Amino acid sequence: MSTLVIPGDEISVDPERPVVLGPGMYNDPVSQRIIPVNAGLLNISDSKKGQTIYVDYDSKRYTPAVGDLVVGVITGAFADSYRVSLSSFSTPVSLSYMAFPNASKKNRPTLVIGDLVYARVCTAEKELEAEIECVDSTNGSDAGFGLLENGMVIDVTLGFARSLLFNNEFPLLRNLAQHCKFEIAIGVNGKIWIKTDEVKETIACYRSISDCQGQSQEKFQEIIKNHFAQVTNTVEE
Amino acid sequence: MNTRTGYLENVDGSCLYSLNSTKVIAAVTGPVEPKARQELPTQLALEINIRPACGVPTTREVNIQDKVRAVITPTLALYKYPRQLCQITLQLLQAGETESYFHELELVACVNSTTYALVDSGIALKGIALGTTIVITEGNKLITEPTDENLKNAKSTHVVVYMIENSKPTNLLLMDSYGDFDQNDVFKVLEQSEIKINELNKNFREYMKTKLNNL
Amino acid sequence: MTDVEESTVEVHPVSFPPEILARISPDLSLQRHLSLGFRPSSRGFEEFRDITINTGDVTRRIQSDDNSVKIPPNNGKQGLGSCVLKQGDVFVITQITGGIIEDITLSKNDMELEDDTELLEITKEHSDITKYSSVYPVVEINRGRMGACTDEEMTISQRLYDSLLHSHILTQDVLRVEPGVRITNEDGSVSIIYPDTKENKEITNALKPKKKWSYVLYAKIEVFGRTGPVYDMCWNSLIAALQSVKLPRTFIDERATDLKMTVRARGRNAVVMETYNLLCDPNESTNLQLRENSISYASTYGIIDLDPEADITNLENNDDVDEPMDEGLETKTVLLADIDGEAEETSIKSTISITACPNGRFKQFSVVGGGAKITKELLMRSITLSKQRSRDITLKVQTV
Repeated sequence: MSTLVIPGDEISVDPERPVVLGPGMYNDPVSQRIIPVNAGLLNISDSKKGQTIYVDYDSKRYTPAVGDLVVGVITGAFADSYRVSLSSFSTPVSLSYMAFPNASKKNRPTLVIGDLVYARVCTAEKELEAEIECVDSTNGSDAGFGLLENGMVIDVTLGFARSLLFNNEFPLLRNLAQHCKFEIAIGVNGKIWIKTDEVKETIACYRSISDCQGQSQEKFQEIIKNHFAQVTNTVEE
Repeated sequence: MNTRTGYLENVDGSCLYSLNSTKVIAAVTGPVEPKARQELPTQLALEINIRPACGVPTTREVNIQDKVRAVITPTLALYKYPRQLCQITLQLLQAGETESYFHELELVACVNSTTYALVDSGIALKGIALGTTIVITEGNKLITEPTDENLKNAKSTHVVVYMIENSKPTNLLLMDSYGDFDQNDVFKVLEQSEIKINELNKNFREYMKTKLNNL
Repeated sequence: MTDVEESTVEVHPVSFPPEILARISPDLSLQRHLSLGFRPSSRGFEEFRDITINTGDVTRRIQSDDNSVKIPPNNGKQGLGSCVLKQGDVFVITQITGGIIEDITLSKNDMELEDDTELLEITKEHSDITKYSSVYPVVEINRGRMGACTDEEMTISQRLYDSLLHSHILTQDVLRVEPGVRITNEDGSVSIIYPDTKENKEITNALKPKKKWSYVLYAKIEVFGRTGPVYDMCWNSLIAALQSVKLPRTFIDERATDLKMTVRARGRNAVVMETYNLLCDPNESTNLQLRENSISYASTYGIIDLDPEADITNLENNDDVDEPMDEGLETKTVLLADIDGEAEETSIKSTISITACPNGRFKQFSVVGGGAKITKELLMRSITLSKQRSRDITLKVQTV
């Protein structure tokens, strides 16, 4: 069930049963009213445990939430942690030296300022500095997190990044794979890291992903084809 | 009225707004890290900058800023973003009125465009603020969305902004009136503006619907 | 802390003396006061602070021999009118100064005058805003520190300017300078002729310069001991001061009236320039003519929801804290007149500011919502109070 909601709209919630509020929903501390605070599509799912409500909306500014996979830039190094920027001008988050695989007091990570990391948000309280980790804290394995070397970062809207990461039906990556081999890390903070064997392919991928944003899925094939044709032609000339 | 959100690339939310010959671009960035002196321990800080269509900002713009702040603050879910900052910049492209006498049309344009830009930015809002200008002529006629000429010959000028929650104007956020009028005029203006704002709200919902459908 | 028994700890509620509570939680302190039916300043809900107004005291005038008040020689820039207003503990001192500028723009209204039609009747109702004028106010709120002006000062100054312009209290006509002529009589004595009588008018018209001048008025408004919002006080003080304004008469020396100078500018043809030495009369002045029925006075109101949980009478009845208190308690909304004090200023988010004439017309009306909901009844009540307040202040200004 999805309907358009505007901030301040009335939402019918069964007050007797537990309610879980997701993104875009807010419980006013004074009036105890449950209202949507963003404009988008309302999703209510009802299970035995309770009701889950969230608003699906697109935006550009990322606010950390626990469990999110993110691409960040190291902007500072302290005695026991790095400072990482997840989006420009936002409050930076911290990445502890202990949040790496096989970390110990002696064994320090070797990241330097300017490095890119793929990580997961482990704590996110609005009153506190958020923390990210480069290790799967349940089993201590690296789980694909860590330093991202070379490649290029594309800034996209948060909604587009989520489609790429979570929507298996989304054809963009499959279309792209028909043209070249690539490594990709998608952060729900709107940053996509991509790496290919050749620079011209990276450029083509960069342009394709940027341009496919906000376009309908039928057009993806053509956009990608054009960009790859362009880079191959340029080299031949 | 003409609006276009997402007009600017590098800010979180933006809107190009025009009504008759008043034109403004609203840009919203936030929540971002504030400067130390702006930081509020429990809530979102708000910074509003208005740049006039020509010249540098003066006390006139500070006055409009003050009113926009009074209107926008109650619509924001401030406590959702402690120690954060929201920056709103409004660049007027065309005043649409004689700037030395009036600020009414620009004020309404600033409020409405900010609302669109805030929704575009995804900052949490408790409701939306929409407003309109009304003048009462020498012959006691009410004109909504007046022109510069209407303003010049009006007996009184009024700006009314309502907070819209659940598709209904619920709370009067601002009424700013100048000229010569009596209490009946005040209530007539409030009544008339409520009708107009309902219409603006309908447009707003329609706009959001088409925007979502295009995605 | 004192009675620690096995596994039970008695928690003492923390209590503060009223003045400390007012500092650390102004909101709660205000709610507690309101629940008892009065405000932190011990005023009633709809009670205004006492106001005293003195006009003309600060203006520098010299007492001449014949006991009539005269304006000293002032080069056109000195106190023309003033007002000292005291409301509660706040002082507002307004000084009106002025200058004379040359009118370069010949508006349509001036053309009418050229045709020797009578001056537009001052009391005649005209909505065209271009016919009206304002004064340039500078508000300074003294807080014991130096620095650039604050946003509040800028906002109040701009609001005063706008309100004055749109209240149609000053027409451009009354600020127009009608210079007289100083002539040397045959016997060598010097006298100044003003265009007051028909006969004199002919003389001055004959020597009339082609240029036009008008007065510009400035208002320096200083606030001392600010305890709350000050817009209404600044406005009332400004209006009272304007009523005391005396504009000095000006004249031109006969010998200067047709002075012509040939100037060669950038190799072009000779340009004829007129220079006049406009002088202010040390003895003669006229009252500034305001449009009487546009004189209005401002008052401010706040609207706040009473929090039933902060109600002291409820607290006393409910010794058992565990019992839910919100049952059957309705939030009441009250109107407070003349907001003052830190607690009221910070806790009250919904305000109404009304500038009303004693006859019930409004000149400026501003409502800022955001806190308590502003209902029609509350608006009506504030309107009634504002008219009453306006009449009261009118009486005070008139008795000065």
